[in-house]
Amino acid sequence: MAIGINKVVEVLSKSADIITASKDQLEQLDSSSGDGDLGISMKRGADAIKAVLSASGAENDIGGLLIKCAMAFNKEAPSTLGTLLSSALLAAGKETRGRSEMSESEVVKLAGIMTKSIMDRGKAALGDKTILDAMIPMSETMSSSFEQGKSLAESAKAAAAAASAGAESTKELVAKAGRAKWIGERTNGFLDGGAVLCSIVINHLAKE
Amino acid sequence: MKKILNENESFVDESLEGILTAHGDMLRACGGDIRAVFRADAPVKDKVAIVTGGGYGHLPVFLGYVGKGLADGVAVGNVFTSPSCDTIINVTKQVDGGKGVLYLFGNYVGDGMNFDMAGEIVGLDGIETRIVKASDDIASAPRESWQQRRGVAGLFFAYKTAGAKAEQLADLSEVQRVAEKTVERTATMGIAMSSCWVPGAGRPIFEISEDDIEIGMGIHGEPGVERIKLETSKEIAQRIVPKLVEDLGLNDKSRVSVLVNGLGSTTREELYILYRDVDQLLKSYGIRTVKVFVGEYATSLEMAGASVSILDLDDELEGLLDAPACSPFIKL
Repeated sequence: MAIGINKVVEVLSKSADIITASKDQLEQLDSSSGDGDLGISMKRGADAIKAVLSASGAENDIGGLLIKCAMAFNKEAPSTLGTLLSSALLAAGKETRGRSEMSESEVVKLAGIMTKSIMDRGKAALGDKTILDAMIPMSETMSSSFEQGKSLAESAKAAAAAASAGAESTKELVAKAGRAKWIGERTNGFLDGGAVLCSIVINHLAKE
Repeated sequence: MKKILNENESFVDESLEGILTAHGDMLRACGGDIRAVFRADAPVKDKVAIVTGGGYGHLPVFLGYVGKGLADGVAVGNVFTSPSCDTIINVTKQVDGGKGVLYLFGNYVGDGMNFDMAGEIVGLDGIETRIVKASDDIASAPRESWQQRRGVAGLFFAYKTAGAKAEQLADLSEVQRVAEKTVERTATMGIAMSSCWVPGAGRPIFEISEDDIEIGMGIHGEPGVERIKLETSKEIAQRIVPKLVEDLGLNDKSRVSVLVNGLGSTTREELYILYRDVDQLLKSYGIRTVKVFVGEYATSLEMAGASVSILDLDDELEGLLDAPACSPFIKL
């Protein structure tokens, strides 16, 4: 089944709502190993995406819309995680530029492209205690489930479970990237905010 | 820490307003974005533009190197914090003269990500960008992995040579080549004697006792190589110069440019004593010094201490170093 721009708008809008609703939870996580601004900066970014969406009535270009969201998000949330998430939106936007719809297999592929863009931009890998610890298992599971013939909805559910497990695994990891790296061992026992954010968003989206 | 300011939150913007008002003939800001500052005659037609940027608190780095024969524009971040990708995009679009833009800045994670992303976005509008990062602090990584080093005062040399090359209307690849060559042939090492305070912060960025100095400390308080009791200028030079000579593989046929840089509150009198001792050591190796810079070229708010940078010259770099350059902060 083809996925049109209306569906993309709906997913972006829901993701923004989920991020906003998770503000306090993120803030709490970040104050244990970061500078405590994760919740507020992510909410600002989410608000910026909502503003782009509400002004995009006649927009028919999925990629163009995603690029606009990427830039708006980065402007309002110029933190490291904000820039990484904007990179992912930008990569997805470049892939779908000029298109008004995409196939389900392309949606699955986009998850991988977004994950790779974060790896490239942040120069981090699995196990570094970053958003990637949720995002890599998420996109890999999404792709393998879909290839095994499961539906997009079922694949998303499997991906969400993988993201949850990945986010939970950051508790035992020592930070090797980003600002948390400077306090290394002391991040042990705390969850990574970015990984938790990824897990929350995909779990909510998969439920619907 | 006592500071002259109004509100902690307006530290960066009010300082920028002062600079733009005082030097409006040479510098301007993009409409609606005071953090995007460019030389008043930009875009210069047919010239490769150089855009730099980084956190505030290091003047004359980065904004002070916007001027003729240097950089064309700068994206200014909060104190010790990367500028936003948005500001980099604004200034890039403002200074692009149709020949592409070189992003030249210090090697730090946040700056790298934001310049990288800005380049990708302006690329959608057909502006070609390249990235060269200064990575000259030899205390932060060994020579084999010099590209992992932090960027510190040696960035000055890259502004100077790449800026001069761009002024000759060389193409983007040539300007990039000169910047890369300069960065590779530059080595810096510093010592910190006292810390500094980010406006509004409840504590200094690191602690150091009254009679200690830290060798190789980064300009944001990143840990150095070792912490020792205060020594004489001669002893400090003796700790730094041999390491720089070895790092660059200098010998009695080498020609170099030397930069002795103050970190913020160390006096020029002291800097010249250190330069004297650095020079005597270089002479003892038979190394010829042809161009000397002593003063504040890259600071860290009111941190006390100094760094020594050496650029291993060849004919091309020496010629480019001699070219005129002018900004409100630097006149050569």
